[in-house]
Amino acid sequence: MTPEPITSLRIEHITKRFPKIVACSDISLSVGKSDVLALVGENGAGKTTLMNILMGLYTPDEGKIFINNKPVVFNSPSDAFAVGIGMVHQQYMLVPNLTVTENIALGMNQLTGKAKGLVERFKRGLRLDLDAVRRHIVAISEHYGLAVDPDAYIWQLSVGEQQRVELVKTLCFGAKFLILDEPTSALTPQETDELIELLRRMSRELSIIFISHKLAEVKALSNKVAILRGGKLVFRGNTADHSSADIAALMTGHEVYLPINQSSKAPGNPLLVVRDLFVRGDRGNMAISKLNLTVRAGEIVGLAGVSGNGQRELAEALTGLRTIEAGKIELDGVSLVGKSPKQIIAQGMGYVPEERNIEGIVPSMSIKENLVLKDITSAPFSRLNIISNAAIDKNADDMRERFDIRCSSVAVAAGSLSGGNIQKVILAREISRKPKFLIAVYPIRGLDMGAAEFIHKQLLALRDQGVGILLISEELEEILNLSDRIAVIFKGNIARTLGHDEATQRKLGMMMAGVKDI
Amino acid sequence: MLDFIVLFITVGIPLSSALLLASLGETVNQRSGIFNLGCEGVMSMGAFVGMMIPYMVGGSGTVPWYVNLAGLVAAAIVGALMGLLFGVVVIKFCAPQGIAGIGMQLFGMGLAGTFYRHFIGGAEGVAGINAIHIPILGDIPYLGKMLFNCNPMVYFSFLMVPVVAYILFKTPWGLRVRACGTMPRAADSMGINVARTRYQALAFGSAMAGLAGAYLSLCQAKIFTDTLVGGRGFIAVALVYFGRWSPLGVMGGALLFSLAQALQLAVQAYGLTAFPYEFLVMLPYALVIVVLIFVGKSKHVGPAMLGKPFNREMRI
Repeated sequence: MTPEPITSLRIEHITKRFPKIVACSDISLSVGKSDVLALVGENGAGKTTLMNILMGLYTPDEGKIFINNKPVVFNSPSDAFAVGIGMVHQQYMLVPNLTVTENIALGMNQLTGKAKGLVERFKRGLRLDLDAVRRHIVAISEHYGLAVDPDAYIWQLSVGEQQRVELVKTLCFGAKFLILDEPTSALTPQETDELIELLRRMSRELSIIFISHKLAEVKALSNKVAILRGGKLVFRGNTADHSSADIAALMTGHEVYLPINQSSKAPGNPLLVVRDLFVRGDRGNMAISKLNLTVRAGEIVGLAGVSGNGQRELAEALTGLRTIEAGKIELDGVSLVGKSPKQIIAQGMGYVPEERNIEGIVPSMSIKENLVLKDITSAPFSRLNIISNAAIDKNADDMRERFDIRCSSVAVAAGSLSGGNIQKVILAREISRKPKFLIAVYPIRGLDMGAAEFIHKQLLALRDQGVGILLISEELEEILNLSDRIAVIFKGNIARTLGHDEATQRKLGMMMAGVKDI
Repeated sequence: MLDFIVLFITVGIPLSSALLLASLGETVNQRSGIFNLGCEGVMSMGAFVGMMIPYMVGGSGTVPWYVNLAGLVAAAIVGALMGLLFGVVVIKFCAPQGIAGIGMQLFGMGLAGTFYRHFIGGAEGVAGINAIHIPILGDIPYLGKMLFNCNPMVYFSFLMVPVVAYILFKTPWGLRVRACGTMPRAADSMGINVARTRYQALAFGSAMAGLAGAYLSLCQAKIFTDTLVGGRGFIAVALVYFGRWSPLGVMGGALLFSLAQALQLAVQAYGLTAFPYEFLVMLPYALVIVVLIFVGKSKHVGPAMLGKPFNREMRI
């Protein structure tokens, strides 16, 4: 079953209302053959809703979809698949304990037409023809240069590999038109580069819509751009005609500039001192070996590195969540070795963890409760082990205002917030405790520009108050914008530490890849 | 000593059949993501229905083979219906599966006991299904006695091991079942009806549990009592974990448990009073617990979403 090629896709006046909110309002777009359209907008702008309409997951309240100038109506994803539209969701739809072939066979059976005749159907039901699926996968992956191992289990694959499987899966179902929802949000910089290269090659034969709020990708990959804000289409045009700054301004509705560390204030005394640290990883390997690092008061040290080089283990060792094998950690002259997380927090350590939904908040608890998690046992939030709701409410209202936490009420579950607002809740909790030191791990990963700008400003303000900050990130732009000094972590060790002035993207990129002499 | 070993294996293998059938069924349930703790109740109903049909036809006397077969089929059908009932509770209404399972267990046991007293009453037995002697093979010394003089249902239960393995790993339906148990959201995105697949798996698995119950009343005890199942339904659930959701592993568990139980019976039969038999009665249960502690805990094998209801709209 191969659907006829899609030479044009047009949506006209699409409106979708949800209770209390208009997610998409009168949106019209068109995509032609071999076009790559970047759909840009902040979180909650309606990008994903619009794509779900294109995929048949939602039905629009108003408006029409045309393919090759013929109107179509999609009632379920199978309808969209049938005409050749395939979507790669932001969260991968793969079953971890099945192989690549089995995962693809799962959908092929559903989507590629029912067998004719009872006998034929009975035969197909009795035996899963994995070999045919495997041949199909190999053919597709060779045609598009997408390397996948058909017999690997999904859980054995890295995030980048899983994404290739998703692409192969969508193509195996016969997609001629790809929709990618934030395809790079979970990828390392190297994987991102590979993906962009791959998509560029694929765009010769396919049309692609991709959702993103990383402007570098938009510029690198797309020839057309459409910007959504608050459910409305605010701009569409050719990517080449507009600068990143223009697009960013249209996206957020105001001029955006990511703040840059320009303070000339000299840093103070050494605050965090790490000497000859050894820490084991989850698999028993030495994830951190003989690491030395010093962060002074009023200084942001950016820890640049490809994720998986010991960043997680280092952050967990510094916060007492992971036991260390050997070495010395001192915060303001007090040793943290062997201390519990509670004692380390009491020493003035703040932590913005990597997994904000799992480690940063308790998703089922309210925003106001999450804001006092670290102080609930002490005054003013509780006295004699009895919680004072008045103090908690007051604190929550203050924080909501100061940190611009956008929510209908501070009593709603923190897990229902968007990523940016969750990060603001975490930052509010950590900063309001007046820490001496803050560890921020991938603080703007997956956030839109507006939220990123806010969080960066907060970090810089904190630095100016004399707090020492260890900023762990893969985003070189973030590191270069904020850091006073930059340490490159490679295979559990600090490869080199550079001053702000001597660091460039190129230099850091090479050092992160393990090149020593630059 | 040789006689002792032969005795204990001869007794042990048939003991494993009910466990094997029930836990193979539970394996399919769990692979689809449904945790059916009500296995015990389904087995009770299967045991009752399985013996009631031959009893209605011929009382305690012998009945033609097809009547016994009808009893087995009825037990499987009643089991499947109970599975679907459980499905309505936990799939449609998303009730917590552990609690609903306990309810199912009490419901099944109570219903079977009540029906028994109403329709049969008293301690009436049936002729049931007897062991068959396989010509030639059955005459092999020792081996013949242990392996080729069993009840037909014992052969059936061991035949179901490769059959269930084939269904789970070699058919499109098995693939759908496994996908629904591990990542229903992904299955849904590919056009698979998660609820329907889970109902089907529950019907199949519970039919197996019904058969396991009928094995107890028709082949093993040849009588029904309230306590006939005696916790085997719960052991069957434990054996699924023991076997890591693989039919072969489940078979190993069922055999290990039954042989340990047979050992205790053999010790008593031989009057080996030097050894406290109470300890041996406890042994199979203790063994299961000990093995469960040491069994592999890799999260990549089993159904990751076991016991979790699926709802497309639910995000957290």
